[in-house]
Amino acid sequence: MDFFSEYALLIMFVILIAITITGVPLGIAMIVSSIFYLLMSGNDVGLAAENVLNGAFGNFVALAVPLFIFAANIMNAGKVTDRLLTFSLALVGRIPGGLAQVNIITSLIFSGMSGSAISDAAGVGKIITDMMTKDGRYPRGFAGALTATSAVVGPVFPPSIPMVFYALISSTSVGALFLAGVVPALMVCLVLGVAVFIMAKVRGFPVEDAIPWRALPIAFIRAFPALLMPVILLGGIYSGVFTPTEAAAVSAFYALLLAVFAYRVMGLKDFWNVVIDTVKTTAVVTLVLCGAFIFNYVITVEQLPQNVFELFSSWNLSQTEFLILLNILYLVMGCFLDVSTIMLVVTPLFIPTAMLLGIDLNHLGIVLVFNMMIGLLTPPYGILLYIIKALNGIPVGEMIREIWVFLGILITLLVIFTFSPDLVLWLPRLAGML
Amino acid sequence: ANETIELKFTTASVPSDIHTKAMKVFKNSLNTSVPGRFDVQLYDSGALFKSGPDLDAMQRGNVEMGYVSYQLIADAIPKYGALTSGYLFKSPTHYRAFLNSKVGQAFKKDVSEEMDVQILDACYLGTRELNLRTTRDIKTPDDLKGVKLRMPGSDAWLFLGDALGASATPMPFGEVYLGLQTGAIDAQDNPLPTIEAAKFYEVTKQIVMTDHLVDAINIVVNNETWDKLSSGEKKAMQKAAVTACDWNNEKRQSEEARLISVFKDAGLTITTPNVEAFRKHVQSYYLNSDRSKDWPKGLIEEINKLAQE
Amino acid sequence: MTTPIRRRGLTRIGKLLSKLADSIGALFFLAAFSGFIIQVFYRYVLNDPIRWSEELIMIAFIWVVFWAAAFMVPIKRHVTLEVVYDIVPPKTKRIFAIFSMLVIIVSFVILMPATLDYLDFLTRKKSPVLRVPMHLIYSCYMLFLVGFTVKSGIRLCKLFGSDWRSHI
Ligand code: NA
Ligand code: NA
Repeated sequence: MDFFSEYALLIMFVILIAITITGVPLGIAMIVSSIFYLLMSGNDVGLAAENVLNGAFGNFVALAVPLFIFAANIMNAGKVTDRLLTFSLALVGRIPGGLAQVNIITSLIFSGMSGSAISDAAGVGKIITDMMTKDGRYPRGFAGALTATSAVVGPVFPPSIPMVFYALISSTSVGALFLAGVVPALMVCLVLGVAVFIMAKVRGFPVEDAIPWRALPIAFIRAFPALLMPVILLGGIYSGVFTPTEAAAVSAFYALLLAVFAYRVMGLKDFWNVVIDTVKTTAVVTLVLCGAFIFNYVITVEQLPQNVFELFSSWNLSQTEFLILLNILYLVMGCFLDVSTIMLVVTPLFIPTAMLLGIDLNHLGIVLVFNMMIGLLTPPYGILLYIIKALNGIPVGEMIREIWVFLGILITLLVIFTFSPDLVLWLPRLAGML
Repeated sequence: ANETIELKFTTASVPSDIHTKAMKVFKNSLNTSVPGRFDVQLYDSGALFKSGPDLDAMQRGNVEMGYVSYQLIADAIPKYGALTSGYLFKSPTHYRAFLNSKVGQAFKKDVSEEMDVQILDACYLGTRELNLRTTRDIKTPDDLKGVKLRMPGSDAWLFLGDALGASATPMPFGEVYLGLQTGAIDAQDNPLPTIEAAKFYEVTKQIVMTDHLVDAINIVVNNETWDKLSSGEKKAMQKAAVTACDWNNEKRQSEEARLISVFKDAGLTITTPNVEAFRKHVQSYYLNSDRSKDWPKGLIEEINKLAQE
Repeated sequence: MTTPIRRRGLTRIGKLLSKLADSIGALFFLAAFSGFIIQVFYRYVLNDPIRWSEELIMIAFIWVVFWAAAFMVPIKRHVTLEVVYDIVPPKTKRIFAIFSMLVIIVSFVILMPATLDYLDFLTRKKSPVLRVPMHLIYSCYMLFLVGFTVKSGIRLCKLFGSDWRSHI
């Protein structure tokens, strides 16, 4: 018995790794391994009910997540995305690499209503990838790699599901984090646009038939109600009309009004299917969070964050060294682990150290979220690549061959964001939130 | 000869809070009077249990010590809702006088029987004042009519907000700053140190010194642990709690005194309303409501008497 | 022995049940969603904040999560770490899957009495605003444990059956 209680934490991690490898879902695996920990350490096993339930029941912020998913699902099902594409095509189609530019700009616009990279790649991303690869206009690998890369903007630009999770574990404000993501997201799009421009010149990518400028106002008017959504969402939060969680509900409501009344593309049956689909995704996402509640209880009781903290203090790291180390660690983890694992299991360990080193937690949030989004692209476990393969049938290998340039760009930007807190925090400071 | 007793002491408050720091005072005092008997482990920021669930955890033996508010006690034993009413306690010493009085003993016994925890002492949390985003002329409860006053999202708190004459609005603490900045709410109520810690002074213009609630929170230990202790150990634990609260109360009061001038320097207007008008309004609001029906007979009068002693 | 007709009947009942489960989950979700819309409407349009909406939303939310996790989402659709699972041959996959189902069943069966004990403890607590007994609100977790265990049991049986390849 003594052996078990002494090594309970270690055994718990071994169990966690063993069962996630054999295919136990992550959220369940965290609950299961905690049960074994509680048994071995002679604790009340009921804690694996108590912590999960109290964690989920008290958490209003966590509720923003399903509502943002709901809004994005309605947008995708309600063909709102089609109008965004037409508008973007009229706007940037004439630039060298026109469709590729459209890919980037639609990602940015769509990210203003969706909080997840996956819904970007699966929604508007799927359509534009099809357009790019039709008649072999662009190499398949390039089209897929660009769709994956531009989808990364989704959770950097507000709203953002990973940032909601980060706000939960670091006790930062969702509003401030959202605002801090705006400048980095715009920079990512701008730099990608320039890179695509150069690549289009060098590799001779096609230019789209110029849609006459006079067609632009009509495309704009048709897309206008959809373009208004990010404005309502952010305007609502920063003018105090609603809280971030309420904003999520209101944007879903607005998307619904658009799809049903303005665009008349959604019937009752479509709506019902969207609801059921959203409920399923909600359960999948929140169950992981629930597992994290009991799991984080265990690592707190075992004082693991303090131990990590003491380890780091004994190395006498400077702020810069800590940030470099953390970024490398996260990039490596991103190759093998899923975002929710890194966010909910690993990140709480480093928050105390970051605080002591005087790192602004809002800045850290943007850096870590962006870093983890890069992890969605890095092989072998680059989940966005697999989603595009599933939806567009582009072999992962072809995408990997094209992804390196984009990865290089994103990592360069990551370095810039890491060492320019003033750049990242400029907007929330301007709004008086920090 | 006795084995060491593990005392996990948890709070939802953040490290910079004075009653979080008071936990260290408790630990040191206990370890000095009974060296080696207790293994006191301190957890802050709700890392182990949030407030509310921490009481469940004490009752189920998953944590040994914590802070329990009078609101939480009223939740479990509705008749002690009386203790959460506005303008009842006058000062930190008033709380202690109550706990040591005859009615206080009965109260502690009820809490022990129904909630399975021992109250060791009451630590002063501060005196709650109104904090407004724009300046208004506020003299009486009538002047608060239609003012959206943020209160914590539970029944007892919202009732207090209404009793003050305002339109009480529930909102999670984390959203209050933004709510004040943008006008989602017109006012919030908290003790001065909270107004400083949460930086509410940046987004508000006025503090009205209503003094509507002198707030305190109890250091408690669960009965499972309490019953294991010898009478000497019980005394040592009580003494440690009193030492911790002494330290806390002194810090809080000097903080409150200092902050008045800090807020003035920051450009806030500090006004004193007709406190007597507020007191009358609040007390009659409570007494004329259903909730005062369950209040123990004579409790309010006994507590009022203790204020003068 | 089940005849093909009886089996078809069973499948139809299964489909009906799953439709029912979907509908219940969708209704919980719509309750939470409407709660928000009503809350915003009352606070900002009518300028008359309501108190019960937050709690109603939270109750609907945790029921959505645990109901759907148990009765709407197939085990394989939950977030899993596929790095290793995806590259091993089918026979190894089968062993992996059998092992993981067994682990889930065993640990959830251990958790069940402890959860009942916790729910029993909660009978004396009520929610802060609506005063609904907490053990009723939290009973969705027990439902989840039972539902997930049964689901894992069914998958385990199928993994031992002749058609195991379609269940790995
Ligand atoms: Na976004
Ligand atoms: Na894209």
